Amino acid sequence: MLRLVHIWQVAAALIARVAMMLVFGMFIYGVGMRYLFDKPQSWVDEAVTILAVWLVFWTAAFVLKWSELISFDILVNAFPRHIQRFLIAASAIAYSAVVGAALYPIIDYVMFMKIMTTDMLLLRLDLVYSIFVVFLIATALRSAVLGVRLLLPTWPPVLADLLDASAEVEGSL
Amino acid sequence: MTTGLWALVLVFLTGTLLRLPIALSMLAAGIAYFFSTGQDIGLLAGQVMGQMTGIYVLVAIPMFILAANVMNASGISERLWNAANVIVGRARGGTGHVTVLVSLVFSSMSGSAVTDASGPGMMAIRMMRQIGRFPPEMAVAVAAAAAVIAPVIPPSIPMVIYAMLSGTSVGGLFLAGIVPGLLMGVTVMLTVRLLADRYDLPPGEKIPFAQVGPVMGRAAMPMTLPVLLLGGIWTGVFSPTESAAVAALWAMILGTVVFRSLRARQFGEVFDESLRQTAATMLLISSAYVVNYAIANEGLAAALVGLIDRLDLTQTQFMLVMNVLLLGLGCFLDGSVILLVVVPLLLPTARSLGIDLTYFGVVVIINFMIGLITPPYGLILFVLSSLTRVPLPGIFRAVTPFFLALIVLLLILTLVPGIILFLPHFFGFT
Repeated sequence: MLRLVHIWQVAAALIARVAMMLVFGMFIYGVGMRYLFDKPQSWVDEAVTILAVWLVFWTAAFVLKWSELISFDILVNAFPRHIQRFLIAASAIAYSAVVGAALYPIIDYVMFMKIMTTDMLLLRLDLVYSIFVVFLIATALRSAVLGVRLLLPTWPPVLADLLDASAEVEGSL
Repeated sequence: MTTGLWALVLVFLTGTLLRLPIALSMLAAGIAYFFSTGQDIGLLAGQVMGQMTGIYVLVAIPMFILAANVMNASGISERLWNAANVIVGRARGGTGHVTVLVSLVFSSMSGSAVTDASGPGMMAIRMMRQIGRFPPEMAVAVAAAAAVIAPVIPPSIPMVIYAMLSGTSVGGLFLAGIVPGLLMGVTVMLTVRLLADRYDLPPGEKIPFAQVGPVMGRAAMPMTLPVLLLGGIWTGVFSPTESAAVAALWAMILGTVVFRSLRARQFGEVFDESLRQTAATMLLISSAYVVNYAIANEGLAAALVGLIDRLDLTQTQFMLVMNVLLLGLGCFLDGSVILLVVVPLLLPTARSLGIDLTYFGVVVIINFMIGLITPPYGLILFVLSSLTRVPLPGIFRAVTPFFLALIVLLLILTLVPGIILFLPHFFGFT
């Protein structure tokens, strides 16, 4: 099972890397066609925007570690570790419950969007929006697993992994 | 407050304070809001995806991040350091001044304070410790204060986000940031000079005249990047988004062909690092749309406009109140939350008072940049403390003179809008 998870993580990271390269490559292609050959490719703007949005949700769902998602930890850090694990477990499990309860109407809304398409590439919007559903399901499952692992007797390394790495990678503001 | 708003605030605060990632707290708060107001919860997907796929300028963010990371990996920090050392290294506390100058130059290639702190900032801390005899907490404080200049000097990721929120021109905002950014650099340098006596910091060594030419020449090529990036935007040749992508390509050419310091193996790492930073940043932006929808739906911004109207505040009074509010919030809230949630609330009031939104944006961004080094919640201080293992309490003490000096500068910039607006007006951005 762990081996399968590891293979999936490696594959997801590789897909994200290729997508990032593709966003960059399409940009350069679009700029080159517009300025060097005077043939603007109007579909490129839409394609890079959609691909970038997919990249963000895919990476957040499957590539980023939980500790890499920007968090506010001053309050939690003020407590001893055995309390911290209950606080974090509570918020993680509550998140998965809230998303779980909201999932059906969200999927219903996304499926309804099949009646519309994007302007240039005429992609069906239910397909474009589907990455958001994937993201919600993935983060809900991951937070539920995190919450349960923090409640098990083997919690110390799980909490250490979460808190000690948290300041190393942050957003880019 | 309505039930929906209570649900939104309660879920967001509870989630954030209990260390649920901020983006996920916003999404959960959005779900709670839709549920308690009886609206279709599916609107969550509509708001997030509809907005994200509709704003092309946001795609500049991954490209700015990529360009800065490529330049970092190409080892330009060392070239810039040597050149800056020739210019300001002789002064007392010389390595501190060099740190600020390197940050100013690197700022013109990077739009992110975190990238600046963890790239050139880390090298600068080592140099300040080894050569400049800086105490560890003082070295971290100087690097942190210098790093927050990055998003004020163009290119700037917060400015791209602000332009999207306010409808102002990215090019105009980028021009407006130049003078305040340079003044921030001068302010931090003056503070270093004043503290050099207290910490008994030595002046730097004299560079032999024969070395000056080669050292400056090695720093010339990295400077072509900001020229290409910003020149492309201001001349109207490229859009900000295209410009960011071309800058990333140019950075790769510099790293592989000109400097020959960037290996093929590093490309994968650079793309990985960039996509991680991109995802963490843009996830926050996407989830903030839900909170912004609720704010608009509840008419909060309109209520604030009414309140300010009743108080009969002048433009200056409003700006001063806003500074106090944002600096206070910056002590406890993440800068991204302030920019994405609080600023949209203030924008309609600024608009109704006739405040120039470019000036407003630069003041807002300087505010939350100061917030990045303000205890107890200063993101840059956390990052540098984690990377250097210097304890936070010492850093908090050492950084205090720097953020106080920057607050004085902020006050001057707020009271004299012409300092910010001179350049954009000169180039026809009105």
